Amino acid sequence: MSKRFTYWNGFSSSLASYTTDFITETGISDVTIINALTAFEASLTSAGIIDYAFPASNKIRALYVIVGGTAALHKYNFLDPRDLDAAFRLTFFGGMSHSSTGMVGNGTTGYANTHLTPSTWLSQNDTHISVYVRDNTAAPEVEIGAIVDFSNLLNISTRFSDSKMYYSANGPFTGVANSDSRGMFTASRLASGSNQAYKNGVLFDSSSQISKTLIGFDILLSARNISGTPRSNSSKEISLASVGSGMTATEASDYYNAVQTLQTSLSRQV
Amino acid sequence: MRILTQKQVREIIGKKYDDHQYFHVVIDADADLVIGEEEVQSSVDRFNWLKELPKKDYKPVVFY
Repeated sequence: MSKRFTYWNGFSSSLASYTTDFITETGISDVTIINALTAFEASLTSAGIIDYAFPASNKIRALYVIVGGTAALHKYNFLDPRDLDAAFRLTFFGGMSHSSTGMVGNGTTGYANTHLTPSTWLSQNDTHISVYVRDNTAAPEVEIGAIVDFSNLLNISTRFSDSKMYYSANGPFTGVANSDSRGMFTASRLASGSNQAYKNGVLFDSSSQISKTLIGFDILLSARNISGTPRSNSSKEISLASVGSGMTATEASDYYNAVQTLQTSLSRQV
Repeated sequence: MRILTQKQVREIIGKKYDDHQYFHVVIDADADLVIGEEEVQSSVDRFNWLKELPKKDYKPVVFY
């Protein structure tokens, strides 16, 4: 991957970084975005969640920062911004709209394919998925996920039609009352019999659902992949999403704080 | 939503309606083949025929 350290707009960095790679590959030149991403990466690195020098230690495999306002820019994985499915670049289908605040499906046909298949890239008892949502609605929608059947899911519905958040990281789902779907939601698993949900960096619910075999279908955003078919399409605006290893409570908190600072810098926080 | 025939579905399946986004046809609760209005209105000129298709409100198949 090519790397440049000084940009036409005068921004410069003395070190190689994910931010450097990302803005080089995407061509993003907005100084507000560049500064926000630079600080975001520094926070994640300080928390031990990512490390450009030792990517094998990253807690996040695919990180969609959804900046730039267009499908052409929203598709990139911040941690591997090559325009390739193998880099978990998003492919958009159906009715998706894009703006500076994020991307939003039409709730019927729109979704994005991450090209990240859990059975290939994740570990059964070491998984997280996260999504940052800007809308508060109760609807039969899922914001991120892939499932085999309703006993083995990796998905988050931030607020289903019964006003519950449904979450699962490689196992049966758990529902917990949730009256507001705005914010950052994470489902994390670090052991076979322990699955956590975090909302805005704070433990929101915990279950002892036993993990199941990793799912062999790509994870989708603004919908969930039910054995190869996109369903439960979401109409909630998404401003960040990620997939990776399981997170401790401290990591989930640090991750949220970094994300919220990023969203605030971009004037789209909730 | 716009209702398509199976023949019309074959004309758009696997194709992009703009530079970066693909059509996605779904089957609703009435078993109609439909696409979203956003796809119709954002599509490039060669898909202008989509704007003549019959409209309907979406009736989702709900999966719990």
